[in-house]
Amino acid sequence: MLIEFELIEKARKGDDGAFNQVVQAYRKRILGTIARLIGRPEDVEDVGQEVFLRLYYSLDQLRAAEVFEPWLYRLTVNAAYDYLRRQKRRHEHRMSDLSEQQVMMADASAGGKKQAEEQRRTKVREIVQSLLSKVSEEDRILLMMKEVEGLSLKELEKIYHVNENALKVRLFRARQRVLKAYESGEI
Amino acid sequence: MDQDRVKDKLDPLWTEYREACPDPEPSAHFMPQMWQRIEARRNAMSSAWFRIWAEVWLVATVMAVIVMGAILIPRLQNPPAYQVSYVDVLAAADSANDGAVVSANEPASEPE
Repeated sequence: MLIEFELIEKARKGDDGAFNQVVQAYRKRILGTIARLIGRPEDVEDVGQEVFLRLYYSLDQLRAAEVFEPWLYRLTVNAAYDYLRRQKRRHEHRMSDLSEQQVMMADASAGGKKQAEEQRRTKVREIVQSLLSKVSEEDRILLMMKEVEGLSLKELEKIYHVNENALKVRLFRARQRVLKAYESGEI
Repeated sequence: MDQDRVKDKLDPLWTEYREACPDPEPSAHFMPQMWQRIEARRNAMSSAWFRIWAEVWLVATVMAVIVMGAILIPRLQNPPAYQVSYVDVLAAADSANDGAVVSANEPASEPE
């Protein structure tokens, strides 16, 4: 936990100052998770604000301060999922935006070693985003939370409200699909 | 076997992706914009409550008008129970009183 339980309790009782402190403590971590989940840097803050907006209006439903983090991750997962679904509907726009974004990234990176490092990172991001586009939004988020965010199955169980075995099966299938895409060179 | 293959090939990729996407620094606008959105939602919610409240009152008023109409219209359509006017009633009562006064002033007839 990044904060004391008392602060969450205060925020839950409607103390806006306490809520502000909660957001300040968690915003960087949540924005990082969102950035890796959605893969669109320009929309990260928008989705992050949506997460904290949902948190503000659902904090009174939180049963105990101890389950705050899984609760926050659940809101993050849901907001990212909603975003990805919206993006899927606007897929054509996305593809054109992506090429523009790549051009901007290439332009932005300047000279020598730094440029090479940025190019390598951009390449990794592109590969992973392409691989993840081969699975559903649900599986993409689940894989990210497990493999990249490093959450344990127990933590995922609390976030998804699904038993461990069901999660294992789902993760296994998602990994298989990603591996198949990786090996077949579809990306 | 499959699990090992997945681990060998994908695990380094996840690690690299994690490194390629570090936690971004929130911009200076993040908190003010977030509070603006919270306020906007709060206003939208309160105006929604006001609208619901106004609609409830409107429906209640319409229902009251319908109920009052259902009670009053049949009564107004039926002929009134009394056909005579208030003046007629007074005149009738007055003439009855006059008779009583006259009969009281007349001398009692002698018994035969």
